[in-house]
Formats: sequence, structure tokens, C-alpha cells
Amino acid sequence: MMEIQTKPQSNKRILVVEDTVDTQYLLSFYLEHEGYEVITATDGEDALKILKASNELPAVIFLDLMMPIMDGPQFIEEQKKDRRLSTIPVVIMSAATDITDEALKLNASGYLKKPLRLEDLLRTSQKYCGHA
Amino acid sequence: MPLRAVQILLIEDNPADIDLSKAALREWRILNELSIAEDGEEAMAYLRKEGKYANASRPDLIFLDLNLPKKDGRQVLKEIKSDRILKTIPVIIVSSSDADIDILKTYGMGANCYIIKPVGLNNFLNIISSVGDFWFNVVTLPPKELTKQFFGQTASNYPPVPHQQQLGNTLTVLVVEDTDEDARYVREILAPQKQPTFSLIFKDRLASAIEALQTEQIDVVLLDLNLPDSQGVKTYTDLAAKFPSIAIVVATGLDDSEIALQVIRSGAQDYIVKNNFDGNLLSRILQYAVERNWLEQEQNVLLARESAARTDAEKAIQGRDEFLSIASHELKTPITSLRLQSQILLKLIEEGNKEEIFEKNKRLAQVLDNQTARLSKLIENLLDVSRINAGKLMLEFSDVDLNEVVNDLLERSQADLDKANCKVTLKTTKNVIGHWDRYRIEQLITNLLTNAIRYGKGKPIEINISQTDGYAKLSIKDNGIGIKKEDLARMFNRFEQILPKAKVGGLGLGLYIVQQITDAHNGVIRVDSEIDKGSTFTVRLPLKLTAEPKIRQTRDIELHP
Repeated sequence: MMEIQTKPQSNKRILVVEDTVDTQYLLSFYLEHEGYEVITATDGEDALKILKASNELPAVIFLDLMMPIMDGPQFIEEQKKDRRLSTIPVVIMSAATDITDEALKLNASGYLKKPLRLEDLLRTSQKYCGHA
Repeated sequence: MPLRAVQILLIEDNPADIDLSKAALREWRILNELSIAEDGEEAMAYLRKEGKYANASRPDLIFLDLNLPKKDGRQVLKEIKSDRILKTIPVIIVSSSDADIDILKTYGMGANCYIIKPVGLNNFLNIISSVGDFWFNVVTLPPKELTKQFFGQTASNYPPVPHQQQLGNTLTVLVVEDTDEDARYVREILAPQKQPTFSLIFKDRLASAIEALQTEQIDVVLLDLNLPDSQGVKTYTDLAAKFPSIAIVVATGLDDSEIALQVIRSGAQDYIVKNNFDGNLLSRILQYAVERNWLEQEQNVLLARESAARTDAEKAIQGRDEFLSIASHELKTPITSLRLQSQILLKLIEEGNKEEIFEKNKRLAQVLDNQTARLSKLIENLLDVSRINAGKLMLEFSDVDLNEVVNDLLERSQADLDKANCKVTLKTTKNVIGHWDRYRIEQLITNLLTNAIRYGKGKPIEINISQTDGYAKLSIKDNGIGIKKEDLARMFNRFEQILPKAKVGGLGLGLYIVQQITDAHNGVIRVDSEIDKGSTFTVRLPLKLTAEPKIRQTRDIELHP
């Protein structure tokens, strides 16, 4: 039997896309507190701009669905068009009760139900970035 | 476009007079909105909110011409004045007749004012203008808000159920028969009938029968199927298609059960074979036909009402579902922050990391405060709407300095303005002090300002305050995205947002509440807007309530949603 060698996960960078400034602040406060590196964007368009300009891509994107200017689903559509960005896993965040359906529909890697719980946040971060 | 201006209904068919009235009303000092009905039937449909007039607003004043097509002005007046709700609307007769008997009769029918059509443009303008001054500045009109309370539901959205017609002592029968002998037979056997008696109209062609039905009041048609200009079942179906609500009894010379079945299935009331009946039988057949036909008509109307009511209910449910989904998103957003917040604090405390707790203390507390404030504002708005719906919006009047309120609010909104990168300039003349409900006026301005920031694209906002003729005027002008013309009226509705809800946030209650507060102060709100140029909301409030003095202060008032 051969064991599949996984690449050591060293990328601790998380992109948080969230329009509610307070929630955005709290998310980065907590994730930084846990040792992750957090970049933030206030909507889909902002996120695309940041991603296209950066050399080091995040290990995962935490994406709010309901946002002004460019919402979550629109962002995912744009992200898919860019080969460099399309491989970054996206975890959607929503208060919607049908969030699992939504995640399937958008082909997201995972979901976080709002109101968010710290342990879910941490577990999800660890899954994509490893233990900080 | 003025909203909540006084509503005028002009019932007039003469285009020249319509144009004159339009010009005169534009000159009015009172903001008004004119609706025009060009015949009597249209006018009644408008007033009863039938068909396309389902959303018509009830006029404050009606101008009525007496000579009208379709339904005469006198009939319109009679119908208005015999409707328990509509009769409270003042009706001003504008007629070219100066005959004493006409004037007397019209007042006798309940007209509130009779004006002989003035000759000459200036005379016309002057008279219409003094009518406006008189009815809206001198006269106290019936309070619209209370009318509903006193008289129950306003004119129905659904078609009226016809009252059961008492079968008269005389039934008018249209006999469509081309054979003289058969026509004579019908006349002879019906002549001795006393209960009821029959008044007969004879026609020998389908075309002339149609003509008669258009001009005469006919209770029932006795129809021969084979006429010179039409034969067979088609004779019946053609006539029934043109006059779906008339009772028709088909008579033929043939005892053909196939044809009988066909006409009955297509809706004829009965089928008889000629010469095979006597006077008593025919009398009974005709009476029953009228009666059955009436019942069918009533059923149709009931069905139509039923389905209209169901459509309304479905719409209401859909609106409610949509609202619930927005409301839950709006409510969950601050809760998401608050929960994150409390969990982080707990975690920091558990970890015993005092340094970090204190270091970030201020920002964390700020977040807590922001989101709690947001939550309570949402809940407050929701409660206001339910208060308004229950007719429980209480006003507490005191002397309010508009400049002071606005300055105060601007100070409080500074953080939001900074965040939106918005500059506000305030232009005001002097102290504008009115007798209003301070809290509600604050709420009104806050809602307008919030919108100006939200839709203002970060461009400068201009606030103007002025005072003229016992009115205070406040306008808030943004240079943002603007509003489409077709959305202007709709946006004052409850739960209505013009942009997709997810994009802007909020519950869509702001302008609805603004409108209700303006109404409660007897004010007027108007909005001028151009796409991509921005919007100006102007509120005009009387410095003191004069129309319904004091009552409002001590009693719950009902507001029209």
C-alpha cells in the first residue's frame, strides 16, 4: 500500500469577503488571534481586485453571499473564469436555512452557517490552512 | 411628482373644458393631483375602484359636468350621493345650464355646489382658483382618516353583487319572430295574462333584435332560431355572445331534441316548441327564465369576487413571505456580529489573556454598541409599522425647532456620513418652529437622510429649510443614483424597495413611515428625481394642525396604509 503524500500546508492566509464591517473586523480579529493571516474585502468586486493584484493567493476564501455591488454567487462565477483563482477553495457564509443546497449549487468547498460559531470557524480554517 | 397632494376627480367629456381645468388646477396654491373621467361609467368605475381603477385614490373633491356620454351626470350624482362612503365627497357641478329648474333639481339630488360654466378663459381660471381656495382653505372637509372608521370598508375593490331584482308587474319581452302568424299567437295568448302582464316588442330579424337590445330595457328574449338573416343554433350563440347577461328562451317549429340540448348547453334558459304552449305555460317559462338568469348572473359575480379576493390574498401572502426572508436576513446580520463578539470575549476571558481583552476593548465595545443599535432600530421600525396598521400611531405635540432637530441629527449621523464619504450642507433662513411630534419629525428626517446617504453614491447632500405662509418646508437633495419614474409612487409602499433587496439592506419601511408621519401632520411630500442625477425629497408641513384641531392629540388616529 502506498500512502499518498500530501503537501505540507504552509499557507496560513485567509481571504474574508464580508460587507458588514463589524463582522469583518471580528472575523479577522479572531482568526488573527488564532494565528492566521487575514486579508479582507467588502464585496465581490473588491475581492477580485485584491486577488488579481496579489502574488500570494490565500489558502481559502470565506465568502458572504449577500453583499452590495457584487454578491457571493457573482463572485464565484467571476472566480471560475480566472484559471489562477479558480482553484482556491471557497467556503460560503450565510444565514439562509438552505445553505447546504446553496453550497451544492455554487459548487462551494464548504459552508459556515451564520450566526457563526468560533469552533466551526477554527475547524474550517484548520482544514484548509492546517494548524496555525 | 407630488404625492399625497389633494386628489381631484374631474368628470368631463369636453376636451376644451378638460384642458382649461388642467390649466386652472396647475395654478392652484394647493398641491393637487388631477384624475379625469370622460364619461359617467368611467367615473363610477373610478370611484368604486373597479377594474383598472383598483388602485385609484379616493378624491377629496369632484368636479362634475351634467352632460355626459354613457351615463348622465345626474345619474352619476345620484349614485355618488346614495353611496354611504362616496356621498361624503363634495361634488361641484359645473354646468352650462342656468335654468332655475336644473339648478334646483341638482341641489335636490345632493350637489354641494352649482357653478354655471363661466365664459372666457380668465373667468374660468378665476372661478376654479377661488373654488380651490374655498374648499381647501376655508371649508373643513370630512376627515379621510375617519371616514373609514365611521363607514367601514371603503368602496369595494370587488365587483358589487347585484341586488335581487323584484320581478316587476310587467315583464318586457323581445319577441324575435319572422312569421306573422306565430308572432300573433304569442301576442294573443299573453294578452290575458295579469300576473305579471307582458309588454311585447316584436322584431323579425336578428340584426333589428340586436339593435333593440342595445336601446331598450328588456327582461327576456323569446327567440326563433330560423330568421331571414340567421339560421339554426348560430342565431342563439351569436345573440348570447353579444348580450351575455340577458335571459333567452329559444322557440322553434321543430321538436328537435338535438337542437334543444345544444342551445341549453350553450346557456339558453329554456327551449320551447312553437304552438305547443298556452298563455299560462309561456308566462311561467318567461318568468322562470328571468329568475334563473338573475341567479346565474349573481353566481358569476360572486365567482368573480371570489377569484379577485383569492388573487389579492395570494399576493399578500407572497409579499409577506418575501418580507419575512428580508427581515430575517436583516435581523441575523447584527446577530452574527453580536454572537461572534460574545464568543470572542468569552474565549479571551477563558484564555485569561487580559492584555488582549483590554487592548482591543474599545473597538469590541464599539462593535457591540453598533450592532445592538442596528438591531433595536430594525425592531423599532417594525413596531412602528404594526402600530400604524393598528391605527395606534400616537402623536405628542410640542413646539419643535426644525433647525435644531436637523443640526442635532447631523451631529449624530456624522459617523455614517464619514463612512459614506458624504458632505452635507444645510441652508436655512431663520428659526422654523412648528407644533409637531418631535420624535416623529426626527424619525422622518432620519429616514430621508439615511436614504440620501444610502443611495447618494458619496456625493454631496443638500438640506434646505424654509418657511412660508404657515408652512415649513424641508428638502433633502442627494446627487446619487436617482429613481425611475415608474418607481416613484411604488416606493412609498410598505416593504417596498426599488433595488434588489440584497444589494442595499434595510427593510423597505423608511419611506412608508415617512409618508405616514407626514400624513399624520397633515403635510405633503413630493419627490423630484432623475436617474443618475439624484433625488430631492421635499416635505411641507403646516406649522400648526388646523384641519382637525386637538382631536389628534388625545385620540388614536387611523392612518391609511
